[in-house]
Amino acid sequence: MSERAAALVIGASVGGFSAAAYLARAGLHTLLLEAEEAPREPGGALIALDPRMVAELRLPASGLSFAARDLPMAITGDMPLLLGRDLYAASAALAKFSDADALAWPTWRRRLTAEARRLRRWWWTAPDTGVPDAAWSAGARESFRHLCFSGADAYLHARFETPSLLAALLWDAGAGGFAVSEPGSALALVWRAAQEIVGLQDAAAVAYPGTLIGSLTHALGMAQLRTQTRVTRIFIKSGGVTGVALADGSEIEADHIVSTLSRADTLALAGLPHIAPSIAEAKILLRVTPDFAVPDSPPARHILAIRPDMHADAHEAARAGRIAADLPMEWVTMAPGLISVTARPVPASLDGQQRLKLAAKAVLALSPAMPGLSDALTHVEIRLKPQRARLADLLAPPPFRLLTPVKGLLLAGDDAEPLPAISGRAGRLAARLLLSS
Amino acid sequence: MRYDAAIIGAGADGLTAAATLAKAGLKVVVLERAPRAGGRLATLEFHPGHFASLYADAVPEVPAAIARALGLDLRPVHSLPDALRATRDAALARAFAEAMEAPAAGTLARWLAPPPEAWPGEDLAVAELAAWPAQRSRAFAGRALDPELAGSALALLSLPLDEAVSGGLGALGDDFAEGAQAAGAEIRLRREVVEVVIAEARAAGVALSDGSRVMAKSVISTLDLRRSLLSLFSRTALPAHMLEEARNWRMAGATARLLLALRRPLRRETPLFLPGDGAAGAAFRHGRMPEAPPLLLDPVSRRDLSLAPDGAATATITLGAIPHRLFDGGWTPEKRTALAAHALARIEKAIPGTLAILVSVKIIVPPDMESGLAATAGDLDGGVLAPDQMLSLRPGPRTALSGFYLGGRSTQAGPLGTGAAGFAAAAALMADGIR
Repeated sequence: MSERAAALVIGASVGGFSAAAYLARAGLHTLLLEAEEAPREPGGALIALDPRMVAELRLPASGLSFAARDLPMAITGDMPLLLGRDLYAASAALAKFSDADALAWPTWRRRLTAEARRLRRWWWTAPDTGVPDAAWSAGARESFRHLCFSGADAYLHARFETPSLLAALLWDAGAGGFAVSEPGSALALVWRAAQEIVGLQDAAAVAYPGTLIGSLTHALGMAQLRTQTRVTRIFIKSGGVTGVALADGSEIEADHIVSTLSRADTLALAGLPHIAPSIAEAKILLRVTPDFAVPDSPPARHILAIRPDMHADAHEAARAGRIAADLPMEWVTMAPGLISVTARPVPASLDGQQRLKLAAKAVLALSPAMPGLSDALTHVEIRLKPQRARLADLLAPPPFRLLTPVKGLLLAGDDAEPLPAISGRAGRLAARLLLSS
Repeated sequence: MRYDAAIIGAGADGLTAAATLAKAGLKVVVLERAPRAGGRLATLEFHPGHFASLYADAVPEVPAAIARALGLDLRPVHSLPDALRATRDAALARAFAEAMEAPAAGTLARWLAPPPEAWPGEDLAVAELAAWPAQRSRAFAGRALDPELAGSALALLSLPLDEAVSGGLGALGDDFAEGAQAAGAEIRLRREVVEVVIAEARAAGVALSDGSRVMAKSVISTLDLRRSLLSLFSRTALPAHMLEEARNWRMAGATARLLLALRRPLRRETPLFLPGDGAAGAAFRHGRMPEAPPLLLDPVSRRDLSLAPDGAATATITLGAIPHRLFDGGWTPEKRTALAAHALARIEKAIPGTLAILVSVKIIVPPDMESGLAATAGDLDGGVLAPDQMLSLRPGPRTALSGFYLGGRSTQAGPLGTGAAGFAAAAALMADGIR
């Protein structure tokens, strides 16, 4: 082999940058390998950008700035609603549709926040005890157990009655590919609440185009970024990694590899058995002419889901390889002239026809709120992200999500998080785990 | 006259509770709305000479102790993998142990005392039914589960395993009733309970629809959770959190049955399962009649010759994912016929020649189950078999009202065994002592 590095990081995503930056700071000769021509901006709202990473890598000092922070949830349609951090404003907005929901909202949000505070430790630090903690009260333990075994639809239906509110809240429960009746999907709501309390500004935020990747590149320091470098194989010898093979035929030796690809893709590269997910989340990036005015004031994440049932229907359709007739979506404005639509669940692989159909669906779904959108459209890009959320991932301490059966091979991608999220946290934790071993 | 216990409902649970208490020397009365005892253990002569069980062909296993005590004659129809059997036995043992343990003062209700740790079988609450292909069809029959979703494996714990040796489930129901009477319990038929009488903050008897009252020191209700708490009490009689829990308890019937009288035996000796298509689940949720619901054809007279006249045959079809309430109104005769026609067409395709030997069909849809069994929404499981409604998260036999016990399918032991919930309620009542 011609080249040797102390550590390799596969994929210049936020997690990859974060892992490479931390490894380089510890003095390791680190290479960050990216298959594309340049690192890509995350397409969509950022959830849970790790505040510690932002501070330690001094990202704001090297340019990171936000176009919008703390996006409230907006529900459009017959019952327009804006649900932000202010419990009383949200409650007052809900009172137009249902007194019971207006009453239930603040209580529920407080309970959810309390659960989130309790669970934060398992999601972000490495505890030495299992869930639940012995220090919890009997009531807390009971309520946690109930959450573990509850599907979000049953959990929410017992609390709220307005269909469009239920449909919008169920959108968050479907994160990572959960079916909303599956155990674990209720915990996805708690996970979301935990992002909101830790981030304060970053629970759902949009960075100015270029500033996130720009500041992360700056933070790389001594680590080297190599673009157009596709890894085709991870070499293993007696249970540990020894290096990688690249698409151009060359090889790089390394004892430590951090992969930001999904678990399935990483194990596939290493030639190990893996389960490929059957459903995915689609990001549809719509570029429009700069003079097209997007009605997004105040900035919000707009949920396009009116019927609570549509989540379960779409999940069934996606598993059967179809795109549901009624597909739940969320859209945010990324920049003037750039709209990001997230649609899930969709089948894990889409043919050309299905991609076309998906793009058309997104444009059609946005059109009532944005007359003239189809004329203003200049470019459409679809990115698919296969997903397989599991209850076990929401309950395991971080090392179990980062580790693989191979010694020296760690995961730090979006799905090394309890639920897929562009946070950089997994990269930071993977670097720490690697350095401590 | 004052009884020691009044039991609402003479199904397997009510009769088991009655027999258990009567054997211990208590004076027990069972009040049943219908003209015969047995509850869901009922067999109907739906065509001259043709008999079939109305609600199911087989029932979850009757725990051996109950079968012995009541002198039941049972035949196991299926076997369960050892691991599942062990899980089920452990869960049942846990339910019985908790019932028999007299609770500390102030913790009468499950609502006040959370269970300390995980129950046996809770790993099934995050597993998929699809991972048990051999059991899948039987657990799926008559239900609206999505077998590929985590949590659906819980249905394995309530698989039907036993049936009567002869005479259908109705004969088994008669055996249960005889066993209870032999033990000394009194069974009163055609007596509908409309309210539980409360005196001095505890259950003191029941009021009947004819205006009379039956006084008892304790009351066991074998109705489901919703009916027990929401229909037997005035609105202010119970604590608000109990009522809220009952209101949030989800019930959804999904079973329809077709009883077929056939001129000749079917050209098939074993049950036939046809899985539903992908749209059945969505149709169920939206209150539409699914075009191809999951279907289980059971040629019951192959195993039990007494169910059909000589040379003829009786078969049943159990359909799942059939909504209790259709979005476009009630279950009219036309819709029932359409349901039967769809199902028979699929059977004809799988076993050609079936239609030619068909003599008569009896159709049973979820509303029929609701009116026949007083089960909310026609739900035969006492509540949707979702992870959050199983095992430890189901109510136990005790309630926040002293002297009032739950012994129906909605309780912890309910789906795990036939008569088990009644036995647990009786055990709890005896453990608490009669004041």
